[in-house]
Amino acid sequence: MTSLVEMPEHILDKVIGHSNFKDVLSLRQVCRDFRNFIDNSKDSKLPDSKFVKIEISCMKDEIISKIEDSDDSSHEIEYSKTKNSRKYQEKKTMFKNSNIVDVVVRDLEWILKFQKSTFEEVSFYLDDIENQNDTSIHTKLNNIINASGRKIKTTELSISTGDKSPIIQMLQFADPETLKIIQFFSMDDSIQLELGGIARMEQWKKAKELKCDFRVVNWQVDDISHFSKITIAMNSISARDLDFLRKAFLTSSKAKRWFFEMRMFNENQEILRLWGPAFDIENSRQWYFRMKDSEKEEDDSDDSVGSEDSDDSDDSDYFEEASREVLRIVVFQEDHFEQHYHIRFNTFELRAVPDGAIVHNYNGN
Amino acid sequence: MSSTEQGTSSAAPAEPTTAPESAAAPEVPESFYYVHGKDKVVHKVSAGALQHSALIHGMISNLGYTEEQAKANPFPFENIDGDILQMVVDWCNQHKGKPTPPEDTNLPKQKEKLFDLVLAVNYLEIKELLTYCCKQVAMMVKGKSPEEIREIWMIPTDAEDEAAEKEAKKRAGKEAAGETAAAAGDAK
Repeated sequence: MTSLVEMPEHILDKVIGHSNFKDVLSLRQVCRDFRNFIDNSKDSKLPDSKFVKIEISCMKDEIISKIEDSDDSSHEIEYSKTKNSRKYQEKKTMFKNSNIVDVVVRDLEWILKFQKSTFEEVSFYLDDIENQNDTSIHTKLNNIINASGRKIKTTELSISTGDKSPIIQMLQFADPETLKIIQFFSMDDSIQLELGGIARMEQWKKAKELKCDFRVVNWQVDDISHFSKITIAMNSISARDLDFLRKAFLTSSKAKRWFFEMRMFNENQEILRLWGPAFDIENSRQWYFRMKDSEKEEDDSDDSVGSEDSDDSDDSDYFEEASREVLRIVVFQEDHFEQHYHIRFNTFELRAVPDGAIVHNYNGN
Repeated sequence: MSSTEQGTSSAAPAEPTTAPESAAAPEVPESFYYVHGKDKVVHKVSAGALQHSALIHGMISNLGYTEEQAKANPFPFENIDGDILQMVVDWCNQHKGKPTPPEDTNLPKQKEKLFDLVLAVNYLEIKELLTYCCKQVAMMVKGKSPEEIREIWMIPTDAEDEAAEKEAKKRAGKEAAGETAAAAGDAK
């Protein structure tokens, strides 16, 4: 009988092409001929693992990797640093001679080798602060990503860490062509993050949404004004920067919702001078500004077009006007925390603007 | 001649499928060619059915055989077992002039036959059938552990493989030593 091992290469290629990624990994373990064959196969010939989400959590004693399949099933692999072992379902493997972080990275490398579709979300949770050195997971992962030239294709990249040093390196893991949402979660409130270097990265420049609860320092308005949605923490902001942001929002066709959280805001007088009188409700001050043009509404809201078509010409102006969006800026001080301010920019329906509030014209300043 | 009987009987189920095609293009009379495998049993197959095989198609397009010449010169495929060639011929007849469906469920489930079929189809360059066969092989691997795959396809483990290699090397070494000894004996 002819053995599978003796098949011509292009036939094995076809067999692999019709197998799923788990079967290929099983085949790889069958014998060294298959292993060599699969290891030397081009990525394009391998099947897509079609995973949707990956979450890597590095704790003091263990690393847990959670992988979600496109059919909503999920896999959890536990790597114990103390026992140097890997546990997946009922199967436990001991590694006598390998560093367990190497095992994690090797497994990840396989997952990435088979991933052709874009992940919805890739998240890293780094809680092993004392271990941030050359043997840490992000450094090793960085090495394999650089060696393979294969960036992680994901829509969302989320990094939770108590140490800002791995952030730049980890942001580089993501393929800038697919990355839309960047999330940085700080596990230590005292850490400040300098945006300078990060904001020059292609991944940052091409992303659409940002959530960063590290307090950012040394940043420029231009660093963040390309995002459509922003949630960011900072120490404070000057009236001048805030006005730059307002202008950027009004002229941007993408800006939707920007949220700034800060400890200090002493620029009320200057802002009132720049923006004119505010509409005050409880502990918030609100300003409304007309957008530069109506492109934004035409792009996003079909309702206004519909009402325009169906109504008399006299009414259509009214409807068009009412469904128009304006920029609302709210400066809010938390009651109970003196050092806690929010400034929120968002698009707002003109018809919902409260009575008594002034809608400032675009060219007001 | 028993072989021609075999050939016509295998071609017979294909007759109904040829009818609409010849109705659509009545001016071209269908030509037939003959093939045989290792068992020398000759199969009569229409040129239309043989179109599936890039290899045979290439051969006949240059020949310009008459019916008699074709009959007198069946294509010999000594490397293909008779029953496997029969399967191939049946498949070609069934799928003559038709777009091939995305799945083919009539492939052999026994792995020995399937592998021989893969090799024959590969040799004859029947693209679609090769795709089905490879899908079928992939199906047989699906969900199996490395141990199970090894068992099903009779693949030795690396350790066994290495042992066999060592053994072969040893034997080769001994034979070489024997030869030199014999050569030395001759020299005397």
